[in-house]
Amino acid sequence: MSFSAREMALDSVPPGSVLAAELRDAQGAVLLPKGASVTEATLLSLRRRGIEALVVLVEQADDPEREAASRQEIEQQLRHLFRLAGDEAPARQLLQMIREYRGRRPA
Amino acid sequence: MTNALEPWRLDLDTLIRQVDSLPALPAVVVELIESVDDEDADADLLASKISRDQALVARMLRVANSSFYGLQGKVTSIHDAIVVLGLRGVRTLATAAAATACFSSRGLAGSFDYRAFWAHGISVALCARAIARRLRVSEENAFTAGLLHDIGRLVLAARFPRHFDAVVEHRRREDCLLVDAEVALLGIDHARIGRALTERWHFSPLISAAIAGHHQSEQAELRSLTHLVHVADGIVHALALSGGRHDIVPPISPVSWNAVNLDREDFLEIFAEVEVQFEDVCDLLIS
Repeated sequence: MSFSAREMALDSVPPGSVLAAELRDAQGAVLLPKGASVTEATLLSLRRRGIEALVVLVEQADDPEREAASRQEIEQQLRHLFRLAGDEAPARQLLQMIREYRGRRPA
Repeated sequence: MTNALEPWRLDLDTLIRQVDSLPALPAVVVELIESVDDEDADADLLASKISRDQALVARMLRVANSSFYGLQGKVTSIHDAIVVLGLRGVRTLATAAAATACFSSRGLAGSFDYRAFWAHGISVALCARAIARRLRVSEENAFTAGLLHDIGRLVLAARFPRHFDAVVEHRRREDCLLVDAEVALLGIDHARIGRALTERWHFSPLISAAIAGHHQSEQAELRSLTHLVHVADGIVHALALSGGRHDIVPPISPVSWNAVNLDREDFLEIFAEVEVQFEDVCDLLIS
């Protein structure tokens, strides 16, 4: 079983998750070190501090269902990221290459 | 609607007056920048001049010894740095160290994220350098232009903090690009402000043009550094390196895309290269 770092919206981080990178606030102060595991209470206090997302370790999906779910999540993030990029060829090509890079195995 | 926007208009003269009141780069950095094409520049003389600015030396050595240059712990003096990195490398290093030091992280607009700003600059610098290497053009110029391409935004946050906050709020409300929010509210964008600053700092016209033109790159000449910075900026946003969930990929000019003209394998390599280097370099220039 392998793990990889993924940025997740705070609301979808399951309690007990492990941070893949240290968490800093907008001023650069370290809130939590890399490797910290976040409890329900931590998540609540982070929400109060206005933190919207965390980079946590997630299990690399081994079964096809999870793989599809993670591909779908990547796809959603990419669509959000590219929403103002227009539909000229460069943005489309870049999107396709980033998709390939993120998913390793293109859908 | 026009009336509601009117109070935020900024005219160029006001802006330039503010830019001119910003700190100048240390004289030795200006000298380094000007000596770029001078192969006979006296390295020893420059080293002794740089050495008089101890804060600058400290910053430069920290970066020189980072994994970014792959020379961990080997560079202990500016003289070493010149031997190892060459005069061009030292020039980039000094420019980066001095430019980042000109702006403190205090007293900026409330909505300005100092760390994310430099993180973005550094990632575009790394990406522009990675592209430059493959195109066999100056990596040093690409790095400097990439690092400072959004410097006008920092000027705005430092000298017009309320304007800056209003632009950020407008962007959030309209869900548009920050540069479009600037034009809508201020009537001027950070690229133009950046140009004013690079002129005050006597940057080479090449770098000045790339900073000024990175959002309207289709007007640039075919072999211009502007295309490189424009494409690098797009890639870094697409990798969501510095903005995370707040990143937005801007439209990418077909003219610039074709001017850079790399193939798929190159791009995939560049993505990985930039992501790995980014982690290592980020703390160095900022903290």
